Amino acid sequence: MRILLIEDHKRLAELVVRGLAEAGFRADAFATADDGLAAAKTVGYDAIVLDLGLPDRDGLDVLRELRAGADATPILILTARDGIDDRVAGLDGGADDYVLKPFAMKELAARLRALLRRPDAVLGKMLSVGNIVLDTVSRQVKVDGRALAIPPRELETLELLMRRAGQVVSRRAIEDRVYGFSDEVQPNAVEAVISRLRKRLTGQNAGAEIHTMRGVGYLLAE
Amino acid sequence: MAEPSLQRRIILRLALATMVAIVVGYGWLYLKAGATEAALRNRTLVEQAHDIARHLAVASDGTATLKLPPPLAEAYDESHGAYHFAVRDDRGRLVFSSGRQVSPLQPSQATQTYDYDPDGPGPLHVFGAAVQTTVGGRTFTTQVEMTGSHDQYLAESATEEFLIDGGWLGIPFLVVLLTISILTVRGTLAPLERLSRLAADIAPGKTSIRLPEIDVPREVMPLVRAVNSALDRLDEGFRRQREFTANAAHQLRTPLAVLAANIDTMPDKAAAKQLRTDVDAMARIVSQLLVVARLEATAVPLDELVDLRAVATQAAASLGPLAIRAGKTIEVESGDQPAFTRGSAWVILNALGNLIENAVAHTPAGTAVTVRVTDQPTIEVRDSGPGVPPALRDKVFERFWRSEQSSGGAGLGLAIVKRIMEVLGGSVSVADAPGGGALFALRFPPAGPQAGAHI
Repeated sequence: MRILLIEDHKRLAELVVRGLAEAGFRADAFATADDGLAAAKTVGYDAIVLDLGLPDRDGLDVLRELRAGADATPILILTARDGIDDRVAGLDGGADDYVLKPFAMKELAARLRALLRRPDAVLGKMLSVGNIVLDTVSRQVKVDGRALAIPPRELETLELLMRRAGQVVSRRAIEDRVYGFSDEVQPNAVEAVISRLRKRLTGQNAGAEIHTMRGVGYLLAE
Repeated sequence: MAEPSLQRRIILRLALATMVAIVVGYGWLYLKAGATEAALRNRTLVEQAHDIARHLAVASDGTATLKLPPPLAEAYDESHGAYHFAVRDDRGRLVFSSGRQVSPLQPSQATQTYDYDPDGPGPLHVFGAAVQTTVGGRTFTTQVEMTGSHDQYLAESATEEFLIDGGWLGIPFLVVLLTISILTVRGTLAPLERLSRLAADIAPGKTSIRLPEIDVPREVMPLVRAVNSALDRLDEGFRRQREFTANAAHQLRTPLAVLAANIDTMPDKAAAKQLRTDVDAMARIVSQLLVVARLEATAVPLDELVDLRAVATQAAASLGPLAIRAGKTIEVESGDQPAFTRGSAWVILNALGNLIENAVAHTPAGTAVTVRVTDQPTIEVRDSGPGVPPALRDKVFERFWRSEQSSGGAGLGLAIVKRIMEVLGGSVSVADAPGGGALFALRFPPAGPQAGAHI
């Protein structure tokens, strides 16, 4: 997987290139907006990591220019700005995700993987949290190497929780994912699905647990 | 003390000036009338003297005779001493008189008029005229005198003229003048009142308002321009401050990112983990300082309609992983009704995040931090920790104050929460939670009745 990194801070760029290399990505770093744009137009990168504070132009300008064409390359913004407006501007400008500085290299790699996992991407066919492995194509789940049969709604729920492992998934998100528009959703349907899934996983000595945050959502953590 | 009223001052001075003008005008008329009176009186006295002198005759034996026609003689008799006459010969001897002594005059010329006070400073005044005539080769001096009150006479005459000649017109004139002045002053000040209302709307978050330079009296224009230019400078100051905080974010976070990336690629994972914790703490301080800097620089619009339930869920979701790693959890309790306030979701999220982070740090493992949203609107954060002793309840909101047993963080958290709530027009307080632990309450101003229109 080839990543374009547009970051003017030389030391940070070196470290990110090295960190991404450890995670299995090959990254090219450019220090200016113009160089980065030129590279983006000549090389077919799988994803772009863009810093917003560039010396020659604002990163949001670069974002707009990249998105002006039909280019659908996933773009992850690396930013030191945490104002709500900056985030909205970034996402409105066509960014797919953003990571706030300072960040953990692991998180950057995970976010990139998540971006590349999207429909037209090849990577990320297998999701894994602890000793749970989910094959998103064959729809098979293995816990500690043993295959586990899971009904469709529980499987959908598990996939959602695994994709966002370590983060809170709202009850509403699960409802939207598991039930179609026409389905009549019982008030406690999600709770019931989670409860059955949780029993199934603990029964198999899974290395990850579904935590309930009342009024907030669910979280799968090792 | 009340401010001096421009309107009252203008009207007062104008009224005073008008009154002075009327007094001076009629004073001048009074003097002029006095002069005219004197001239008329003197001419009349001279005429009267001539009238008497015309009846002087000298007989063949040289004796002077005066035969006044009866009407004339009666007139002098009936004037009750107000008018009298005397005729002297060329040697100054009194030859005829109306019975009363007149002033011994040394004739110096053919016709003369004079006046004197017979009783010193008393009320009486005598006006006189003397004419010289030659009859039968002899020269006689005929004097006519009138006794009267000088002042009284003139005052009566002036009052008469004032009333008859339209002096009273001054009063309605004054009223009309004052009415016009009041209307003019009001009309002139109306644009100022309009400008004041506009200026009253200027607030730190709304520095883009400028006073309009149209329909403003030329005299007020310098003030309007000066205010606008002061606003420009303020705006520029705020803009620089905003730029500074944006730059500071970048300047502080990029080196931290480098440091963090360096640590992440270290081979000694145990040491890396400890260093990473320190970097995270530092990053949190930077973030909090930036929140305050942004608030102080008014770089955050505070007129957004915010549903506190959404903010509470978001804050709990983002801190959930932290709580769960520590063996704790966060719950959110909220009603079915939205809890609207006006402010900034981002800023409220920061305040609430601080409270939840504190609560998660203090609540024992295995317990939950409860975030409760009410439609007052308030947000309460409750933990099962040791609570905050009453003596320390004000102190915990001071900048950089930390309790001795706590660890990590810079003690900015609660100070920032307090500042945020002040800026939003709300408040923060701490009390004992029922059943032990601390209960922090954020009170927000309600969004107002118009909030419903936006749903």
